[in-house]
Amino acid sequence: MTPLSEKQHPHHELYRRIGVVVWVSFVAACIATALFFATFDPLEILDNATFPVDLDRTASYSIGFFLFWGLTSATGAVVAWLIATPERSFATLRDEESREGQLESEEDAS
Amino acid sequence: MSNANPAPQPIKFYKAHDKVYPRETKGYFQNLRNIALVALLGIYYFTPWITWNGRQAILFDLPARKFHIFGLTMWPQDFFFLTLLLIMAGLSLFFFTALAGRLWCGYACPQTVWTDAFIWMERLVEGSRAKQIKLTKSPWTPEKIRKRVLKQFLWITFALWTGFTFVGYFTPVKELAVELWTFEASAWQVFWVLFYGFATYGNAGFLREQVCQYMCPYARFQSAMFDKDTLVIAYDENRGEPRMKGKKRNENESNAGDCIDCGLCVQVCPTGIDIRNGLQYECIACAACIDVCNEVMDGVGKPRNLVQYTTESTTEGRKTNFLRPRILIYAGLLSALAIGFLIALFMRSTVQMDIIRDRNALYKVISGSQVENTYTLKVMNKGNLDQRYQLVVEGLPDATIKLLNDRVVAAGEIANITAQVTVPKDKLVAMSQTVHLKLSELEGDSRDTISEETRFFGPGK
Repeated sequence: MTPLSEKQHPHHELYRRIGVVVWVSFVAACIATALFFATFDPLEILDNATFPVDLDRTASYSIGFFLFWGLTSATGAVVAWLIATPERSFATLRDEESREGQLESEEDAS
Repeated sequence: MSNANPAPQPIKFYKAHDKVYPRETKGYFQNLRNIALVALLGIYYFTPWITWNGRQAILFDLPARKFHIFGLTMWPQDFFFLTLLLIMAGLSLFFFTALAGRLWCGYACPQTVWTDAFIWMERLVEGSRAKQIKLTKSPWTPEKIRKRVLKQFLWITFALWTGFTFVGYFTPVKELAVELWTFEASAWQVFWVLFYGFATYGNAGFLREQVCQYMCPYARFQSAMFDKDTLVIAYDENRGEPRMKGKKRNENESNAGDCIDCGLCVQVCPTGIDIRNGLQYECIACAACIDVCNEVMDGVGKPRNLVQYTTESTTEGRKTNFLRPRILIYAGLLSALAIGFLIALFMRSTVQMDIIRDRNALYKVISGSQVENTYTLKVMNKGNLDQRYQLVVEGLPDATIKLLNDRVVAAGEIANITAQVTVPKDKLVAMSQTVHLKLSELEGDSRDTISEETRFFGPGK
């Protein structure tokens, strides 16, 4: 029983999947960022970078967080995409039906 | 022909979502929830403004890599404490869930608290549930535009203030306020204010119960902590059914159950479910249906608690067993961890030392009669003061120490200090013997001393 129906957006389900992926990967990225930067000081890392990088700690934490988030959400997105089993095409279904029909007729014949 | 090949219909895993317009409720549990809301939001918005010894009392100073919590300063080396705290928070969630169901969801979860705050603002501008629904259906009259603009203004202001407060936990809030006002705040500070504000607006203003239903892992696994003695919100089916209303009720008064099927329990529900269908994972245990049903029961002169906090055991006529193994195990683990945490915090030293032996030579013999070992000391000053230290060797008679680069170690700094320990050869008892290096602070009122074990090598007897 829903109080009021509003028009359903055609991509509602897609949006919901995006929401789940973005949120779960956000939490994972938060944990990763905390663990990583509790262990390593970004300034020490930047001192040893292979090319000159001039960032303060706030910027490093922020960029680090978004790198983690990008990684986790890319993983999540691919997982969500692959785990949704693709619908089988009409052609496959038709083939299956005709094969079954063939089998039945063979059985009838024997 | 048109029926020969019907278009394939993808299976929908989720039901279509409609905006829920929860009806306002008043009552005992809503009062409790409002108290929780004011207290929690109050703590959140007020905490950064508390000052302690001339400094912001709670400041997670990420740029300086130290956390100030009143008199305590935590360094990245103390990450262990944060981990313990998180484990304790998780265990408390298990404990309270097993005992009283989704207490967290209904009263304390930020998602619930901020959603309630946003709903409160929505009601302030747009009025009751019926008025909100009417407004949604109405065309864009000037009145609707005025109300919608005002609502969005309140929401956005509140969300931005929330974002500002959030950043205020990580950077001194008073300076941040001035910097934002004068457009001098750094780009990243502005970004995080906007980001957190946007997240607040999105979660509390737009997504609301969908976060609980589709995004929250706790909502999915909390059932694992439930058993027959867990407090849940339930509708008393034996008493309520068969539900009847109106004319039907008047004609069958003797057969009718107590439920007058007014539908208010559905209207007040922030997740849009019907509690009379039984326990559902969407239910966040906000108890709005209890309050509204009690009001209705009072009105029609029937006893309260047709919808109530109860347990499966009670419903089945048994006594609820609160002290069951699950509860005792959670409580035991939780208190053991809490005691351990407090002891560790109390015994936490403001200095930490790691000893690294010289890798090139085990020992050096100097002028025939003296044996020297060299150690590199990594000394970490975890206190608030710049510190000088004194080093003493224990377990070696007549040992002398020479510190090569003795200096003041700044608060929060890790210093590499080289210590040369020299002992007369004839005082050594073995080729290798255990010694203790004792490091004492020389500044401040409460001076810590720590002792670390290492080995001293010599040529032998």
